[in-house]
Amino acid sequence: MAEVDDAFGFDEPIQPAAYLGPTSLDDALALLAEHGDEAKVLAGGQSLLVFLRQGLLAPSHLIGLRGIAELRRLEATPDGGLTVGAMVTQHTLETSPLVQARFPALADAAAVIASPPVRRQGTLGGNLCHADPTGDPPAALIALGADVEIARAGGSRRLPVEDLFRDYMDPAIEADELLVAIHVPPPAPRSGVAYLKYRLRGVDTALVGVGFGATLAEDGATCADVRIGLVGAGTTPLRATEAEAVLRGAPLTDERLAAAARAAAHECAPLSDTEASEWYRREMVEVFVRRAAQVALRRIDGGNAA
Amino acid sequence: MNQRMKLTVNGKDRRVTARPDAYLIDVLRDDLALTGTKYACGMGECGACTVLLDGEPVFSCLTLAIETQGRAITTIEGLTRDGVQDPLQQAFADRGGVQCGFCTPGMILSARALLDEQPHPTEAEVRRALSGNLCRCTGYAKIVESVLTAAEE
Repeated sequence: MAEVDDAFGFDEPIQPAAYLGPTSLDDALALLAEHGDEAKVLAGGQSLLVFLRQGLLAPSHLIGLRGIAELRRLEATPDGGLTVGAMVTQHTLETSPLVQARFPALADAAAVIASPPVRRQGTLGGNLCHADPTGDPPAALIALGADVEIARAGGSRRLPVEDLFRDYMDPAIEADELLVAIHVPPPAPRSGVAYLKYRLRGVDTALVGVGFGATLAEDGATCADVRIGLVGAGTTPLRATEAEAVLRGAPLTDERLAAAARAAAHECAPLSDTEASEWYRREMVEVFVRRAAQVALRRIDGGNAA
Repeated sequence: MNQRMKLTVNGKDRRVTARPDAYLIDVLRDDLALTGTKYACGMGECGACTVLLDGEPVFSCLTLAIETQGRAITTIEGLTRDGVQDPLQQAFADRGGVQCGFCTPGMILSARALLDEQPHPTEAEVRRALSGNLCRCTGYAKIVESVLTAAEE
């Protein structure tokens, strides 16, 4: 990938990128095998086209995925899970009755991304591959225990969502690979998952975002399993494993949840930027872990009320 | 390495020759002289460049022209038919929903998409549908009122 040294003061017009529009997954993977190093994959374009317009990237080719119908699948699996094709839009997720009813945390995360026009074109796969640490879906997907399916010509592999992010905007996807689908497991009995976002203005990215998923033991009080995803809390989306350890196997009392929230605030590593300081983000991680837990626990009884 | 494209804009087929990575907003404004669509932030923050793609509001500054081939593009110019304005355009004029006017085309197209899906929205639904369109004159009250007025008619 050619990097442009002086993004805002270049003298020469950047060479146009050639556009390739494969209509099947096999064709897309063949094009990636051929051009992967110098090409960029164009999903919904709501992040990449900003970078291109600013001259921050100058790919030789754009491989547009709009023509590949199989990447737009959104369907329940036979065991009650969910398969989301990489090109399913945020608008489709937020308005899908299936997602709203069975995976409300994912619908909630999709519904708070940017603005309606961005959600019409922006895709779940594109959001994950952009690997912005303040994106909303990663926290919800970590709490849901989701995997991503990554294909290359001749094979594919699966990765838990929390392992997809190597560093700031650096997904663990090689140049000849394509994220093709997101697989969400079926909700366990006595489980609930929520995603809450904290931001100052409606269209902002998350100052912090918390996904919280809990499964109760048969006694209805002990935490059998828990998954906590954080965004806005480091250089990547992350899973708060120390906070989870505070809860797993313990009764889900207010005191215990408060201790887990403190653990999450301690183990994360937020950045300071113009939006918020590291200190403030940690404080908000603590508050929003508690709040997301409350919403998730309310959902265990079957209700979707937030 | 310019490329020939056929776009369907406001019901008419238009042929243009442009860079393969040309943005829709640039083709609309520079090649087709449809300057009702406004360019402001160029990064999907402000909504001034909103157009409809198969009836859906999208940012033309975050859309490649080449990917809109075969889809119906509607710009603000397309809302006036045979000299008769869309009820939304009339309502914005009547109710003072226009101040400097720069956000107005995007506002009206986002509102058009809303009313096509939801002819009688609540105020909250109007505000949510317009959340991607910023007004730098900060006159949102009249804008929301204009949309609700058009919805009543």
